[in-house]
Amino acid sequence: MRLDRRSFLKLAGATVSAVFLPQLYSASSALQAGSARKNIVILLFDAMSARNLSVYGYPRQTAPNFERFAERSIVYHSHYAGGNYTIPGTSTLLTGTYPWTHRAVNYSGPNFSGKIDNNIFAALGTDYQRYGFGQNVWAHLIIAQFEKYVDTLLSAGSFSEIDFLLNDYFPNDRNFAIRALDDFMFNRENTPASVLFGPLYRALYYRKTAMLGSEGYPREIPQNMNYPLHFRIETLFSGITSTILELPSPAFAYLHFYPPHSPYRSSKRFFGTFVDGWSPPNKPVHRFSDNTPKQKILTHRRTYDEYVATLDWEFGKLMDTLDENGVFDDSYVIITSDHGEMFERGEKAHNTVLLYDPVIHIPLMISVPGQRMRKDVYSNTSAVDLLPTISHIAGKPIPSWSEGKLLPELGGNEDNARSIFAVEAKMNPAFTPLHRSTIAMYKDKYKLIYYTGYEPEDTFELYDLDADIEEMEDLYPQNPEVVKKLKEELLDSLSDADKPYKKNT
Amino acid sequence: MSVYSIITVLLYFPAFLHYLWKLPSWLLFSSLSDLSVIYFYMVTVNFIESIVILMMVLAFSIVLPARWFRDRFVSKGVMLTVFLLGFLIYLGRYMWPETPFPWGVVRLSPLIFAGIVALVFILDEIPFLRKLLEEIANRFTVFLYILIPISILSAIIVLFRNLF
Repeated sequence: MRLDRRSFLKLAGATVSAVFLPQLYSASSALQAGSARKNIVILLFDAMSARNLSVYGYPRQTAPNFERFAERSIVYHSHYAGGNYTIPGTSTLLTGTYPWTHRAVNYSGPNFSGKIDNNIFAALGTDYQRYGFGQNVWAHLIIAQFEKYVDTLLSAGSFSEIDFLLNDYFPNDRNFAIRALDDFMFNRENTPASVLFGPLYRALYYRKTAMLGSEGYPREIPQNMNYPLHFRIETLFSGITSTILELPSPAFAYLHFYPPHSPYRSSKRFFGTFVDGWSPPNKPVHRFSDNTPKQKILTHRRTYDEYVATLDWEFGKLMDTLDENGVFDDSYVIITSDHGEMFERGEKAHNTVLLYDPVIHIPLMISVPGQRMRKDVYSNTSAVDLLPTISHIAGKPIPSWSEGKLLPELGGNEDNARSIFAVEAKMNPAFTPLHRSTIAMYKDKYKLIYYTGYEPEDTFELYDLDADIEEMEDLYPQNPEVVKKLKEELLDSLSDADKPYKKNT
Repeated sequence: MSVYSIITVLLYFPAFLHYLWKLPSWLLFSSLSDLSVIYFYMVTVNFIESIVILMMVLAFSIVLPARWFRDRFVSKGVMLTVFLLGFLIYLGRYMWPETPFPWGVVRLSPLIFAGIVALVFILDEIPFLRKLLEEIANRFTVFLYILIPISILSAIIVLFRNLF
């Protein structure tokens, strides 16, 4: 067969396109090209700090599979949680508002009464089949409040070896069943309030746990810290994989994994992997820390890293399966967390009033359908940005009540001049102005931390994150002009947020 | 009714104390209606527990010959209830998540129960004690006038919330 010049050019053009275009397929062009609604899957790993992931520059190789995922994603390098533990962090993501607005700031206390319609499931509307899974019971408690907008609500105990939660038996009143039964009458953290059924319930639970093997997990199999749920990570991932593969189209799935939240129970494969003598920069003990000894903190960090590596291993398998089944071609896959974890300054984990980066700097990687090349975004972004961005990519209007902005590369622009916030206020009533809290504000390269309501007086700290990513040198006394500007903005924002509650002072 | 009043007092009051203990933290984020719903759940659980315990005491009196138990139902029932629930409260206090489960105590339960029954029979032979318990139980019935209506109302509310 002879080819004329015109046919040859057509064929050559088609060949070049077929070979090279998929490689060059950028995130933004994929977004523009996709007119049909794509599935949106959020995989949230509880308490996963960006600072402990090798994909974000951590010296220990904790996350080679997340690194693989990053190679086909938009990687947000300066992404921050709304708070430093599950309730405010998750609520910020799901409502697109900061903790000082949604007011879910207390332990086990998300209460969205009056704002129940302001959430990501409602924003997406009924065009999408909406799935919610909160393996952390507090996340489940949040999703359960939005249940009328969730088409399929998976129980927190799904994919567990032991599930002794009682709220599953009260599907019409799940929220109060958690609080009244799981959190109170049968709370295994305290003496049971139920005199007869309490000990009986515990006896059955302890019997079941005693019978549960710990094969493959030298520190026993992973479990939920505050609730009677025990699970194997491989079973959890297997269940989640099936759930994702069976999603109808279009669907939105919010899948909140408990690991790598404490207790850190790595698999045998990674047990002892990081006994390497490495230690992070030495930082002074903070006056608001719980003064955990340094050696204990290092041990916690190491076991956490091993748990992250365990999670990463299973994530790698999940990613391969999704890839084989073409999920990445027709879905947005979002990897993130609700808050971080800190192992420094006398603190371990995240039960703290401190808001240093390790406890609020979280990963955000978004794989756009068909994306093959990595993109990196360095400007500051926040968990509040996910709701408007997801609404945007779903072709929905951005809710007016959301406080976030469109993420760069997904409709938004890099904007370092904007201010973003993280709020800690677990000892503050939800219905009064924030008179006992810690607030962090990021703007440009600066981070201002404000401690209010703690003895002896309100204090500020200022860091230049470009020059001092470890937050070692407090610039507050040295930069009065920068401080004045940032301080005014932070206090004005706080005052605005507190306005509706001032009558309750 | 006298025995039932003792059962209710022993079940409802520890739960209510727990409720008061938790109240300050709940007040940080809960409305009055939230607190009421939690209270209704608590009372409903207590109500079911009280009926189960009463059934156990009644079953005991049916199984044993009348002269052993039924003829002195109030005093023996009260003692049996107090010792049984006392043992359960004691057991509950030793069940902490980070401590080993008290299997030893649980394994000894049949023996402890036999001991309780023996103690009930011995103590019931003391007329003063018998009289005292009957009097106390009789006076405690006043609580039933409050607790039974609240329990029924709570059970209806919990049922209503879960059915509709």
